[in-house]
Amino acid sequence: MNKWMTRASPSILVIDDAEPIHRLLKIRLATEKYDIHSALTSSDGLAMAKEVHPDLILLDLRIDDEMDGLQVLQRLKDDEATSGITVIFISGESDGDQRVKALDLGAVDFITKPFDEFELRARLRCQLRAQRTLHMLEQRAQVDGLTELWNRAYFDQRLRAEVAEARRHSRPLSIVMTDIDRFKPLNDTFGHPFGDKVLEQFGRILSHGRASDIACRFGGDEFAVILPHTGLREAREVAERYRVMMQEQVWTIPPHAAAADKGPVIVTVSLGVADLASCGEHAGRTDLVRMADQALYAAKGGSGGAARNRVVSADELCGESIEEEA
Amino acid sequence: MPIFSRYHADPDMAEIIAMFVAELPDRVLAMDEALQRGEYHQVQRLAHQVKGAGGGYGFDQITQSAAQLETAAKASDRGPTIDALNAFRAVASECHAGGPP
Repeated sequence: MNKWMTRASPSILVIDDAEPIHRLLKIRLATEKYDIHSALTSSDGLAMAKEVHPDLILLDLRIDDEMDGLQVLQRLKDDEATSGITVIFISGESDGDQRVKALDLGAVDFITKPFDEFELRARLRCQLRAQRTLHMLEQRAQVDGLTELWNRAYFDQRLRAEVAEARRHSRPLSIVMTDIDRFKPLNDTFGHPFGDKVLEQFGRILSHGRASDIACRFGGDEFAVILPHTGLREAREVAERYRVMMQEQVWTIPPHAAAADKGPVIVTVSLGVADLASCGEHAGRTDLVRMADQALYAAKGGSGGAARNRVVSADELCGESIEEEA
Repeated sequence: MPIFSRYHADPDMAEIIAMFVAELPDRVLAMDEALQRGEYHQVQRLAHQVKGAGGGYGFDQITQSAAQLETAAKASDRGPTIDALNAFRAVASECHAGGPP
């Protein structure tokens, strides 16, 4: 389970204009080992919400003159960077109608001043538990069951974001498209459980690359890796490492396989590499994928399909097509 | 009649209860000044803050008295606000850190 993000302790941002409330909450929540941040004004609170991105916000319903708690909540929900943060209101006993509005705006619960310390801790635990489950399900919906890599849906979404990010900051971005050479005969010869093992193992190799690279199962025996902040040459080196690692794997042939006596099995992969720069100035996500796909096709040896176990990058593509024509 | 926090025996709370009690005179002073300037809204805010905190520190009378002050200040009514502030001052001056001897 290498994909799940783990956080040492949940972080909580308290937004309240009364200093004694901050001190009190820190003492009352000390046993829960939360990472507690404090903001005394609505504007500080909004800024900190973006900066620390807490798991949960405890928000005073009547924070200050600039904005009341409902306005702060509205701002949090309107901003994509903070809209997913769980908000619990701290309210007085007399704030009945405000509470309905707050729940309608997206707050999940209330704690009433003065706090009962046990109830306070239980309510926070309850919300954080619900949130953990939700995050787990969200992530699970984006993870491939066999390889535990990100799935195709995640790849599309993430690549769109990475392309936008790279364009915004004029940073390089590369992707590697890859598949397993002669996967179908492999399956036919050694059986599907062996094929699954190959997919799992290649998935493991891809996910143990550089920490910043995003390995995805594209579908079938095809995989894709997003390499943020990485130019074509460096991406090619990464792809080459994948190729060598896969080639060096030792495979145990299933005893009942038809070809069990044919000696050691070597499974290889072909890889195509493309970067944003070689796709043209206004190229987007699909251009990048298309270019990497062409490079992968070339690595396989083009229409003849004679090559395989190779890395081809986008800058080598012209040469490839000339070769074919010759 | 001295008033002690409901949590006076809780060692985790001792330090912040002492701080809360020590800060009460400053809070009363800030309310006095705001009222002299006719800033009822500010009195209301200060009362609201201490109302929310009082009970949490084990001083329910602070919360009750501050609630009355908040209501009076909200109405911007000078006489009742002065009375409520004086009542709050009396409660605040009786609050003590630690427990009964």
